Amino acid sequence: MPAHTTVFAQKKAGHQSLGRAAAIIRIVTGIAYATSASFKIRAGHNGFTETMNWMINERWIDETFSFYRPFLDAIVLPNAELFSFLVTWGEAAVGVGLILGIFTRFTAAFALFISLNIVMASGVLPGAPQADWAFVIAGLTILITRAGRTWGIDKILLARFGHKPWW
Amino acid sequence: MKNPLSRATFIPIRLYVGLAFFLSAIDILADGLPTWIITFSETATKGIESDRVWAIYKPILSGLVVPNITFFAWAVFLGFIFLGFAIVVGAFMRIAALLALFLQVNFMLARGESFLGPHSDGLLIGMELALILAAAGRVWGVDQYLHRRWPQPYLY
Repeated sequence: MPAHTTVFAQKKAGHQSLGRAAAIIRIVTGIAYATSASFKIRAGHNGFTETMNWMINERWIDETFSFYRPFLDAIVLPNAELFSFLVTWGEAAVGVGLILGIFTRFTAAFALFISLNIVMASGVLPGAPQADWAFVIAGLTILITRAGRTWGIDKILLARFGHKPWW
Repeated sequence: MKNPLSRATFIPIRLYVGLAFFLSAIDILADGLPTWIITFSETATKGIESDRVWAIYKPILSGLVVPNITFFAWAVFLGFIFLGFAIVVGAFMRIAALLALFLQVNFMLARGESFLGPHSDGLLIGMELALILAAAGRVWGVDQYLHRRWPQPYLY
């Protein structure tokens, strides 16, 4: 086999491995969001609203980042039912979108938005080995690697419609 | 369009997984190793009695881990330090991430958690698999030099 063909084959294999690595991160993140949403849905609408109020008012009371506290007090708590609905169904949509790999960059941006809000509310610092930052890092990686193009519906969309910013 | 897939895109994952392990070791040191051995022993003993832990894993806890609790507590502590450091600096990434994956799966089984739960264990396992596949130490890592000097596909 000519040398340039071998180099091309090696590059292609390496590229496939990176695509698969990104797809694995996408799928496990999607499963985590989907199961989190399913627990909230099973708790019922009022169930998660009460949990959210308890987390904001008691569990995270001394930990929330100071610049984020006014937003929680003035906007989220007075509209707790609306926000619990948005969090629950937002997580469900992100979970399904990431598992299927559809509109992955758009979905990953939304996942990143959710996880950053949770990090600011819980006040967890980046150095701490906490789950919250794992979701931020995973969302960022899915966003920059266009992870839906391997083992995802985005592969079909890419072939049909070409390059678009949301897949 | 420039291809977005490069090993550099996995650096945030590498740093997160490595630091998660390394900082766990720092936490153990801050509390003291005798405290860690007691905590580790209590967790393993609770796992044997817990209904959540898979039946297939209980004989491993009762027959292997609990009788040699000091050895396993030290092994996990040293694993946190060396694997965390190796993953952060990108040295022997594939073997380090594989061992980290082995540790993570054991934690998950010992705690009786599902692979599909909304917690970080499943996500960390996915991240470790990704680090193995991507050979993520070959960019901004020690593996870059190792691979150039002794090219081979499996260790790094």
